[in-house]
Amino acid sequence: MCEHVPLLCVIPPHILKQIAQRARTEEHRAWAARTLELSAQMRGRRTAFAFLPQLELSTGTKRRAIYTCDHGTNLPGTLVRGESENPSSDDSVNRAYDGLGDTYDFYMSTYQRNSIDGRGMRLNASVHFDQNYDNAFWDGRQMIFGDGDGQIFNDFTCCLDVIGHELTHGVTQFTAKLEYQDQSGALNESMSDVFGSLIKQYKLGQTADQANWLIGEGLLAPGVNSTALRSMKAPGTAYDDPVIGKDPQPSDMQNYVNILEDNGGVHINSSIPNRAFYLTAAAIGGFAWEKAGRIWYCALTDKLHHNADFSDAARATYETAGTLYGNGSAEQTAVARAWDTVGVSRGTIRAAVAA
Amino acid sequence: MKIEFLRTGGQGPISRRSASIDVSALPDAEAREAEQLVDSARFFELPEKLQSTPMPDSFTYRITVEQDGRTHTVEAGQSALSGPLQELVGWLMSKAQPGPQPGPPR
Repeated sequence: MCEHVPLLCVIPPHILKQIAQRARTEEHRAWAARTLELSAQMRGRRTAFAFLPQLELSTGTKRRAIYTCDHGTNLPGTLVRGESENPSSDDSVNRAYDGLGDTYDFYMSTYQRNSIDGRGMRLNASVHFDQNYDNAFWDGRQMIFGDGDGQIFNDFTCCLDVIGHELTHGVTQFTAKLEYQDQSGALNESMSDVFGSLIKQYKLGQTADQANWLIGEGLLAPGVNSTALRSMKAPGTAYDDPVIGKDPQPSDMQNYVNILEDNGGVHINSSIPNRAFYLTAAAIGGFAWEKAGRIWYCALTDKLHHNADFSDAARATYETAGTLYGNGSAEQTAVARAWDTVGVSRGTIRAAVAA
Repeated sequence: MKIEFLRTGGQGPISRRSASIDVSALPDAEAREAEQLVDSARFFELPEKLQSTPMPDSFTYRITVEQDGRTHTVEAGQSALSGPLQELVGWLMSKAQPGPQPGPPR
């Protein structure tokens, strides 16, 4: 789906449906289903399958298992809820279960990605990790959630975009493997914010201008003077609190923060590519996961190398937009202008904006 | 004994926690506890960097101990913590405060 859009008029839909159901290989069935979906999208339908209840999308099966660490640190802990099992009396378990499911469904429906590794990997999460643990992370194999400290952070299972952010670190791990340092690390962080936000927007059915582009709204405790953890639309405005300080994220390259801490400021400078994504999505309009998200997804999974910097990402998204929507298209222009606005405008982007 | 402590990583600057402790200025029982934890961790024999594969959004801890004229700094990813060193970090976290924010002044 990252290659040029196929000639959809050549094969009629009724033949595609047969192939989607009956082709011997998964690859052929998936291709046919994708092509049907793409053509339906172009005709303005969100899904081709509403009138075909018996037709299933290619084999994508969620396999979730949620554990509790019971405030200890042994992983994964005790199994509480397996796939298709009834909700637990523990709300953290249920939120983790739902968040993992929503993330899986987003990647499968939107980009035909089968789980984090693209091959149906099991989705395991452990909640109640340690005591007052004010964090959540993907450890390379599973999700780990803390309860928060109750003063600055709430329970980390609260926010779908945070869950999506952490799981997307897994997607990056299996694709571009962006090194977690300096600009490639900030890109890694940004990809997690981009798709974390899109997962939430998809769940809520929000267009780019309906979304608030905040990450972790509801994660910070009531006593903290904040709206969220980060803002993709207006970096540096998420919080300003006497105890924790002010949101230090820059809105452009001129204010790039050069520090040693935080692996070279990966959580700080991620705002620059974040804002480039927001600007691209806002310029294109509609649902951000459909075009802007597709450009970014294809750049992440097909083009970016482990040591990519912001310029590489600008070039990769610009070229991808050209492949998907045409050179000189409105979509490609939106990408060029977005990167130029945040100050990433050498070479290709500079020439594109000057044209 | 003086201890400088810093936690970074997590969700970025908002997760930053630091402490600067003059152990000799602590109440006796606490001071002994600190010295015991540093001893049990065999702190001065630890390598300068203790880290397996870095995990995005996980915590990194930096501890500098100055004792009897020697100074030693250890930087450890959270997955590299265990036993006495983990206990020392737990004790230091109980003393740590948020901030200050990194980055140049505006």
